Amino acid sequence: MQFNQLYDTYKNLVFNLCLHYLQNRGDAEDAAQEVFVKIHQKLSSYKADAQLKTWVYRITVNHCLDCIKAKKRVKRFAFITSLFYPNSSELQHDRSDFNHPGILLEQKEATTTLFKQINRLPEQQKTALILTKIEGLSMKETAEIMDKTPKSVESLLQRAKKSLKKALEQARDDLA
Amino acid sequence: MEEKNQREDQIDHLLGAIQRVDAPEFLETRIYARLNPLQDTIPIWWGWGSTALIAVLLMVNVWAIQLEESTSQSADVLVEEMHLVDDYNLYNN
Repeated sequence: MQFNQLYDTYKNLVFNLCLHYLQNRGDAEDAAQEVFVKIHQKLSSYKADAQLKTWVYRITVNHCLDCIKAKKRVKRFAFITSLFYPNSSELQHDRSDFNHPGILLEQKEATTTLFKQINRLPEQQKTALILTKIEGLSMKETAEIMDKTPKSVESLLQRAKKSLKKALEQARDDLA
Repeated sequence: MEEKNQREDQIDHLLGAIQRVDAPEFLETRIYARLNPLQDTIPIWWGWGSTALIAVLLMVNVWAIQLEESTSQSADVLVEEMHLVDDYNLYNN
């Protein structure tokens, strides 16, 4: 497949996946650009041992996870102490960065709170959750992308949901 | 238990309600600009040609300076031999 055909086919997939991971339009645009540059560089070495769609998903997921790690490194060295809660060493989710255009206005507050907790999940659980619950992929498709078995993906999903429920309960109790 | 199921349903509902967005049109332009960065730069043979020209000019300058030095040296010798140098000694030694 030619690169321009590949771009036309997968541009929305890549952009939306970047949005789900980064939850910021500007960051998602930058990430999507880098993903397609990587795809272009690696296209000649694509061996068709996986479907093209799976391959594109893998590159996008890995790049988004790298972006998140890089962002955390930057924040770790930030000198703005007001980002920290006084009783916790965890970084507060910077709400001003949250700009996901796919979220309906009436659900923005609840979804923002939910994503705050999703961002705290381990990478594997977060990926399983995003690919199955937001992208709507099957367990089999998600397993192929993550290079795991469907049962492993199911287990990751269950753990992610359990962590989310617990975190949301805690958040609700803190507000009360 | 029922509350936990309701929360799980709410999580599924919120995540399932996220809408897909079209990628911006300018993204393609940016990507191709990254993939073809040399389109707006000077052709490479211009660079090599300019370098060669500067090297030639440099060598010509060096040759001219060396030539001037050797010419001035031979002039000094000639002047001395013909005793044309200003010398206030009464007798030549």
